[in-house]
Amino acid sequence: MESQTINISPTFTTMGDQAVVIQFEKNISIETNKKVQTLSRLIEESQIPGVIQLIPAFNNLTVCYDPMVIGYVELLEELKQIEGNISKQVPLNSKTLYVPVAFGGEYGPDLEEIANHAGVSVDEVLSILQSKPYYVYMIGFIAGYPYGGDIDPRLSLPRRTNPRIRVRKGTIQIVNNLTGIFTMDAPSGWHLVGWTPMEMFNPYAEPPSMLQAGDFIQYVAISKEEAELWGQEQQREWDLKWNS
Amino acid sequence: MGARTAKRVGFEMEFVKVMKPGLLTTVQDLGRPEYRTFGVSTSGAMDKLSLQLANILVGNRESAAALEATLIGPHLLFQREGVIAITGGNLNPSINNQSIPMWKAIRVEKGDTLTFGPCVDGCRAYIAFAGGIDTPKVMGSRSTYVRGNYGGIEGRGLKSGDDLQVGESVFHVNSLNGRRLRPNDIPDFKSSRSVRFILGPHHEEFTPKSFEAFLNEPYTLTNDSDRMGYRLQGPHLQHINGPDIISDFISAGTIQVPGSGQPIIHMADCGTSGGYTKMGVIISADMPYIAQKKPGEQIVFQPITIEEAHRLLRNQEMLLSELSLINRIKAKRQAI
Repeated sequence: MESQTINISPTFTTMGDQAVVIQFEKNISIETNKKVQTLSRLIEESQIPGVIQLIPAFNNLTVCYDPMVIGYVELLEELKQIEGNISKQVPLNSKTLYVPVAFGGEYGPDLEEIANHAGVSVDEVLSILQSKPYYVYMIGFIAGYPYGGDIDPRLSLPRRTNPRIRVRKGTIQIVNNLTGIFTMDAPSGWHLVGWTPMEMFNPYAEPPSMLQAGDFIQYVAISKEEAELWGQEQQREWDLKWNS
Repeated sequence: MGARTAKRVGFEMEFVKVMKPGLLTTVQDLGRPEYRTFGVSTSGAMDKLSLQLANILVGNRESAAALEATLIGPHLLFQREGVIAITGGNLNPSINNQSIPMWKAIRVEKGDTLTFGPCVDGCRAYIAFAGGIDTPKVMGSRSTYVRGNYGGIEGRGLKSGDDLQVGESVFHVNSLNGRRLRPNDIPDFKSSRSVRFILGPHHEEFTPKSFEAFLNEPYTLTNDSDRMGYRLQGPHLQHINGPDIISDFISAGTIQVPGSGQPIIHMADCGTSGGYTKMGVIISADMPYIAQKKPGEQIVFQPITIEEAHRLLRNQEMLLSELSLINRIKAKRQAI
């Protein structure tokens, strides 16, 4: 039997006086996110005067505009017209970034709890985490934080009831079906599994974040000792081996 | 090199020495909105209107970097002559212990000191220097983002002993000295009026009763209010389907309501995404006004239409472009 695709038109909502949100289905799925990415690309290509920036999220796209250049009604008309072409196939550039991770120990204090919850050993949790690349749905929070997914449903845990006040930059964490890498110290209610010495965000680089929405993250285990001795030389070798 | 050149404001050398930093004094410009796609906080001046007016007064481009002082201003020593202007909240500025007017270009001489007294009104003062603060740009902006440790002076607030580099102005000291704003063009931060916002995207996610209370009763800024955001205290907002949403974009001005039912207004240093319902977004033209609120003060929210918000923003932008004409015309004349 042929599977039925129900195409629900997205809704357009104002977000303040300089942004419009184009909202797709209320779910987290790569399929929905690809629509967001496609629409973003189509709007970018159409170069509407006054559209300043496009910010993709899981299941919506925020269009930032300059109301001194384009009015709200006029903008909506333009956007709706472009949205009508969303079935068009556009190439979406994406790369896979291999990230070295020291799992467990002080870097992953929640691993055992996750293993208990999943009913598997800690080693199995680690191999599940490294079993596939994770799709980057969006970049956000602070300083280029990647929201990747989907992790194996066995490892899915809700947010911690007691968020940690300060979690170290480089920490790999998971919650629900998502995983992410902290690009700077911040509070967190996610579950901590490991730590990467790789610099994921550099304000002095162009672009500042290593990942973009639509990319993939693949975790690769390294030892605690390797992580601690990581430097520019190790990163160069790593990138030659994995990321070139 | 003639005397005329020597009289120009700024020699690419230290202009200001920081004797005392004040409570939180940072270098700010209009921020880095174009980096939001990379999850980078916009930062920049909390009150971008006052920053731009200060820059116009001292002959700078509106987007130049200046100091943003918070509640308790810094103590600065000038190392050479120059021109400054102070705008925004009234933190009681004095030069050599003589009170000086705000919203006016003022000539300073080598050895002069700028100090501040108790906050009279508002919350944040802007100190612009002819030539503009010349710290290195990070992601297109000189704005300090303390949490990320970048921008401004080593990504932090000023501290005693810092030297501020100021660029060269195209104007001569005498041609700037005494410039002032017409009284009607000075923003009024003292008046207690409502803060206007645009409803949505999630205003229908609250029970009618609590939504009504939100629109009619005041909220108080708590002590947990800073450049990242203001936590408010007031009538409890009741979610119909819970507070969580699938994380998406947030910007300065966003009124977000987490599970506590107490709203948070995101401000200049906010992140770029959030996972709670959004009641609405404060209109751009009212952001300077809200930036001048301090903990303990009350605000009342008033929803308006997007057309009205755009009209108010246009008025503000037109005022800025009209006032900045003086710099474009005069600068050109001097170039001839």
